[in-house]
Parts: sequence; C-alpha cells; structure tokens
Amino acid sequence: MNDEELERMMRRADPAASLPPLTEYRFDRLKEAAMSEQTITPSPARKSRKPLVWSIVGGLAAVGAAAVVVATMGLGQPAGPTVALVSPGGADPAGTSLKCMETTPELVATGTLAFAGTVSSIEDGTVTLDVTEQFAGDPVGAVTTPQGSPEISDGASPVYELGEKYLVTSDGKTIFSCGLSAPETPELRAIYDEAFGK
Amino acid sequence: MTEADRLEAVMHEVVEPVRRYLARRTDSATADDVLSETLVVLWRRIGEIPDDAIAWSIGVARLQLANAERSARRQQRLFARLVVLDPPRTVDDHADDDTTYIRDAIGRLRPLDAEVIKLTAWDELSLDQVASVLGVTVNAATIRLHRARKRLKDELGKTEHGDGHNGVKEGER
Repeated sequence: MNDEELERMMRRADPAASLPPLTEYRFDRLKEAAMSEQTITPSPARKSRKPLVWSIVGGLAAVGAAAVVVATMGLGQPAGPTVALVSPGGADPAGTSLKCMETTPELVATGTLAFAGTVSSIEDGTVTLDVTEQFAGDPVGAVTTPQGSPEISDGASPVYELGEKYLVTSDGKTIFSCGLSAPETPELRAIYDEAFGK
Repeated sequence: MTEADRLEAVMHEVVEPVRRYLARRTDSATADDVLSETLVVLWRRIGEIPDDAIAWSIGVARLQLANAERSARRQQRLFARLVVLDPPRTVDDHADDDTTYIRDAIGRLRPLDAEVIKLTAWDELSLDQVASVLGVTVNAATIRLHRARKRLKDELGKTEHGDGHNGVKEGER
C-alpha cells in the first residue's frame, strides 16, 4: 500500500464526512457568544507580558464540609480589595463553620487555569507573577493579584515575596488558596505533578 | 475593519475546519463546547491571529479539547467506582466494517502518531500547518508522519492477517 492509497482509505473513514455545515443562525449565535465573553484577556505566553488584572473581592468554594478560600478576579477593578476569609471562629459569609481541606491532587486538579510563576514585582499592594510553566488552561504570560495579608493565617491567599516561585491553581477567575496555591516546595510540586499528570 | 468585522472574517475562514477537527475527535456535546471556547479565545486574541488562521485556530482547539478531556477524566475518576464498563468489543464485531476497521487501527497508534495522520488525511493540513498545530519543526512533523504512516500500515496489515479481514482491497504491501 502506498501513501496515496492510505490517504484514500483514511478519507473514507473520516468521521466528519457527513457533518452538515453550520447554519447562518448558529454561526451568528456563536459569534455573539464569543463577543459577549466578559472575562479577562490573558496575555499569550512568551509573546506579551501584559498582566491580567486580578482583584480580590472574596469568595468561598465549599467542598463538602470544608472550604477553599478564593480571591476572585474582577475585570478592571481598582486595587483596594476587601478579603472575605473563612476560618474557624472568624467571619463566615457562608454562615457555616468551615476550615481548609487537606491539599490533595484532586483538589488542585479542579483548577482550570494553573501555573507556576515567579513574583517579578510587588507595587501598591499588587503582585505580578510571571508565568514560567503552565499546567492547565489558556496560555498566559503573567498575572497580577493583590498581595495577601500576613494578619490572616487560615485560608488566606499567600503573602507573596519578590523573586519567590509559587504554584497557583484557579478557575481562571478565582485563585484557590487555603494551601492549594502557595510557595513552591517539593511536596506541593509533587501534588501538582500528580494533579496535572506530569 | 472593526474587531467585530475581523472576528466574523476569521470565523468564516476557520469555523468549519475547527468544527470538523473537533467532530473527528470527540463527541458532539464536547465538540460544541470546545468550539465555543475556541471562538472566545479567537475573540480575545483577535489582534494576534496570524495569516494562517486555520492552523492557529486548530492549535487553540487542540489545547482546549485537551483541557476538556482532562476535566472529563477527573470526573470519571470521581465516579469510577460506580461505572460498570461494557465488555470490550472484539475484532469480529466490526470486521465487516471498513470504516470502523480503519478507525480502530488508528486508535491503536500512539496518540501523537494518530494525530499527525488525522491532521494530514482528515483535516487536510500541510506539513507546515501540522508543525504549527503540534508546536514542532516541519522536519520533525515530516519524520513523525512518515513513521506514523508506516505504523498504520503495519496495524492494518496485522488486523487483516490476524482475523481474516478482507474488506480492504488496498491491503497488499
């Protein structure tokens, strides 16, 4: 069998051979849906270093009886965020008593935008992380996020340090903290590697 | 030209190739979701789309599909104990079906070998485009395609002789 015969065989087995073209209506709906997307504009990896704009407005992702404290991204919101954190005995917007779950590959892997990044600047409470390795999600070059607070000990976002490397998992809008996103250590790296099949 | 006009022009060029790329690789619901996500990426990066928008867009769709499949695998792991798998099909179940026979042979290839063959034969991409989609050099894509074709021919021949399949006339090598 030569290559041309193989190609002919392959084409006969094309699963999309009978797929009808998109209707004009569906084309227009897809276009409208794409253009109505209000999420951030990630900077492409290694092309532009324009960071995402993240701000903490506080959020809570409850998993079973425990919580993952999150920093929610808001498009173009000014710095000056408030942080709603949940810890035993602390303020609890969900009205339940919650605490951080153990960091596991399964929890880390719930993130759809996950990366390793090095802090390249901390200015006016805003931390810029240059993404050095991406585990999941649409490629980004850098992100910014508000600095964590050293006064909050349980479940808070990390208190970032210049030049340090962090492993971060998020849903693209929300950084999962509570130990899921934290300075890189061999233990956390092993969890990320398992979570994302490395 | 406004950005909206640019998106429409790019969509006219790439939406069918990307739809077909996805239809060849996943179920229709996932294909619909990933197509929508791919178009969102196009809109976000409307100023960065290169001249070869088709290869670039298929490259985006490929990454989005990998993300979707990874999420699906996580879901499957969560529910793994509840799933009872159907017994695996035997070759005899489809030995009289040329189409399935070929697809099964492709399915036995390594994923990257299968992908490079699909990209050339089904998606009708040039080697330059295949290299762009896979993020490798043209030389590497050429070598990969050559090896993948050989392995596919081996697989087709193996099945043909192994179970007496005789539905493919081009089988002699």
